Amino acid sequence: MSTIPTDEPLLRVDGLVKHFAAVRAVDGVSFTLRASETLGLVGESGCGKSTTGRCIIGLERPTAGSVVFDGHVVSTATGRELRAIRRDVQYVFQDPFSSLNPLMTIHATLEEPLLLAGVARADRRVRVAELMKLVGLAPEHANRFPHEFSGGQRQRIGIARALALSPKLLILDEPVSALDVSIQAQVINLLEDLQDRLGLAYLFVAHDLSVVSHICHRVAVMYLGRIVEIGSRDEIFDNPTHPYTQALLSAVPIDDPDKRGQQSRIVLTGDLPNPANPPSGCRFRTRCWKAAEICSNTEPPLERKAGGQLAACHFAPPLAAETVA
Amino acid sequence: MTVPLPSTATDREGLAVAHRSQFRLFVSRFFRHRVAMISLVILTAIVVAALNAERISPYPYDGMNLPAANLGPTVEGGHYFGTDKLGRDYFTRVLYGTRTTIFVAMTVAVLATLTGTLIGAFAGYFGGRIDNILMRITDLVIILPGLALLMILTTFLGEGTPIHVAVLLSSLLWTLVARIVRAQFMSLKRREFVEAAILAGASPWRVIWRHILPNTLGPIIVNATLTISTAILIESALSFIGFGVKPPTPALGQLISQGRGSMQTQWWLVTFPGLMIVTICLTINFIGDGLRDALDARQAQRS
Amino acid sequence: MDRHTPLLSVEDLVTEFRTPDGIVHAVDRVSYSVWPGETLAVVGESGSGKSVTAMSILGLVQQPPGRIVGGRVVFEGRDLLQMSPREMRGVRGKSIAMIFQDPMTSMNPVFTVGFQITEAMLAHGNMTKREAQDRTIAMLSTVGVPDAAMRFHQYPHQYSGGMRQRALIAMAIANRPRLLIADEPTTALDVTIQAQVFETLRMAQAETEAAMILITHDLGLVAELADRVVVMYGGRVVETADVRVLFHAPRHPYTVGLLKSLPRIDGRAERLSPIPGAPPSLIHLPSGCPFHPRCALSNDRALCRSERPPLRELGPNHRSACHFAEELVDARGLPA
Repeated sequence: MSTIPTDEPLLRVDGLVKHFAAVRAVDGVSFTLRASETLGLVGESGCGKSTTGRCIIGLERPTAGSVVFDGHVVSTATGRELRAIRRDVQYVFQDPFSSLNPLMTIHATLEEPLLLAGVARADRRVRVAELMKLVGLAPEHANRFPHEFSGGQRQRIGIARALALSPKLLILDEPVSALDVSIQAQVINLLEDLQDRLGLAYLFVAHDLSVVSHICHRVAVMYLGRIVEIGSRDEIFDNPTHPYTQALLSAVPIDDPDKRGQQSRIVLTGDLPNPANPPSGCRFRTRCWKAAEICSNTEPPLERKAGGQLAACHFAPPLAAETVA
Repeated sequence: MTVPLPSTATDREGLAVAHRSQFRLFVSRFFRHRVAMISLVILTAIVVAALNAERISPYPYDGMNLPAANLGPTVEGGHYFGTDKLGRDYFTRVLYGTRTTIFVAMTVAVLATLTGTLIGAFAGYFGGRIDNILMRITDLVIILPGLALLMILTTFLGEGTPIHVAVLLSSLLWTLVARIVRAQFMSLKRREFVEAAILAGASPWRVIWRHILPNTLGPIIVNATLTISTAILIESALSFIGFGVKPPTPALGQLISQGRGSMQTQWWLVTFPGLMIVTICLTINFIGDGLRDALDARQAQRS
Repeated sequence: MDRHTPLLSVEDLVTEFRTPDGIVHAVDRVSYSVWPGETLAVVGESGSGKSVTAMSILGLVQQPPGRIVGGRVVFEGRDLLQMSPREMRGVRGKSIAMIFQDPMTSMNPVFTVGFQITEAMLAHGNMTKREAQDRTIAMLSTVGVPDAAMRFHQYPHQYSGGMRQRALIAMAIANRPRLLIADEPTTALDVTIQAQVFETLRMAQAETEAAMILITHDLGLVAELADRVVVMYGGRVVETADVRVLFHAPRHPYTVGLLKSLPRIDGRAERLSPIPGAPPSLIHLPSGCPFHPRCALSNDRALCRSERPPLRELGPNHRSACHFAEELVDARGLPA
């Protein structure tokens, strides 16, 4: 296995582009991710966050750009190389009800990655029991079928499956959105515990900002296939500089009836533009209250702003005069 | 408004108390469908009788007995279905005819289902050009005028034996299965558990065989049972017009055709084979219904 | 309006569903009231019975397999459960309007949006087609659909999700109902669209002075919009209170647990405090209190296991169904 020098990030995404026919789902996304770090990828429907996650693990082939994981180029890998990469990067799906084969026992589902990696039967049995315990389930229940488990439990099984071959990076696509509110907290805690114990890195794709603010170290905000702002959790949530981020955060209902009406809520006008035909210049300008002429002429570069994070907006004050990639 | 989905009985950890596989749930649901159950019993009785025709009936199929010709259904001599103009026991003839019909129908169901599944699976899973070619072929077969084609084929290719007829029928009846399987494969291959299997390193073969196909079996089986009754009707129609199974091999359609002339006076010659066809088709359709209901319930349970 | 009699009063409602696996007790003696002009939030997770209750109120429960077994639903003095289907049709859409979660399935895809709204108006009111059309366009404009005159002639699929929901709201308030029932109106929508829609809801309610039952699992929405809250669990009401009281001084362990388990966008808690276990099966509900298997306060006490706690008054306008609610005042497990 390749060893990466400690300075080099675990995952490097560079200029990722994915078009589906005319739809420009992902249109130039770049970021890095380190071991034991959680990067949140947030945005609304059509922003390209799920597609980005899928490209990283090879479920979609990028139209352009590169994805390098642990020294391997994922974006062009095929066959055996891709399978080898997938021992270190795995995926947790959103829907606990369709992410498990209803006709296979949990044991069979958890054992499959091990089986396909050539692990001997006795070792597989041991590992499956280990995995069940790791996610808080009783190993005796492994011979049952998915429909006998609740949604939260099924999601744990999905996580266990992803951990079968001890990956370094997990891509989680809305892992708690389909769960009841009181169960979400259980699974979030589990994910945090696993990260502490196993040193996992997470790419956390989500739209629920409260969950993201809790679990993520860094956050990238996407809009229409691009990252509009990226920085540490505190930088983004305490001091958002991009208008879209500001609108997003202000749209989240406040959990305190006393604060009702106190917060100035930004209500965006208009609708999401057609992803096949994004606006010229800054893509957000059609819904932005700060939009000016420069916004339709020049696309704002993603550069470091006064608060410390990177943002793509002509009106956010930059950090000195340097542009950092 | 849909029924709120119940979860099964849970213990403290929220796990089902009664551990039952999907299959057992499916079976118990099917048993609850009374009409299907009764139909299953009746059909089994008919099939068993037909397969044991030699043991049940004392008369041979071709046993002519002129003095006993043209008898209506009667208890004396054991001619429960009467006799035909050559004195042959009609019950025996219907029984043997049933056997042929069932044999042909089952063979067609198996062949058509296998062919259709294979074609549908490839088209659905691989998509693209393979899908295009296979679907164009399917469309072509669908467009062809079935009965006319069968008449031509049986005349030139067949010797009128049941197996020939079965093969020819299968060559036209696989298309429905193919379409259903293709649709199922197209939707299933996008499902998350299939993607998860691919991410775990499964080859396309393993994905098809282990993950997608088992989840397609339900509709395939339901469709197969319906193919059986379709095959029976077509085969009987063919035999009736003289293009299907040829004498001396017995067939229900043949019997009806032979008895048609004397329908007014010897009603039993047409009625009993006809009733047998209707009964078999009805029971199969009810069983298919029961299977489908049990399947739907299982789908709902899945959520 | 008379502020002393409730506009709608649900009394001991019981709704069941017959399934091959057993009887689902979806609504198990539920009682609550809605006063004119107020916004009542009905909060619960999946399986709590909050939606089935609303369906029962509107007579939209499919019978079979559903069955409204008992109770009364008194609206403006008349028991809705005793009405004939024809009478119910007169109430539905006129005095009581419903907004569902998924606008795509609540609108007929083969008719234009304008047509559907005018139909709703003409079915219940006396006006000419022309008048209905003008009012519809005005209504669409009011709810923020841009270019309303042109959009009138478009089909649902030509609207975006948020716009569809707003058109549905327009349809709902077209006949100036006295009660709006909104079932998870923003759940399927993006956050920024949600903001648009609930501003529209707020405005729609203000304009018609209608009361609203807001069914949701989103406590943030409740904090923003509700006057009073009903919390449901396992097909039963476990707590009702004014919204501020509910958030700052909840008196039922489930409510407390729910509030504590939510990640807060402004909070920086190290770990969340989830409620252990999972929501109960509605076929095999736990004996006694449905929450007891997951309840830290209960601590497996016999009373919780054997007796169903009655919904009792703990303070002004504050009721809770817990045998040991008093102990909560001392423990005061409040959200961070």
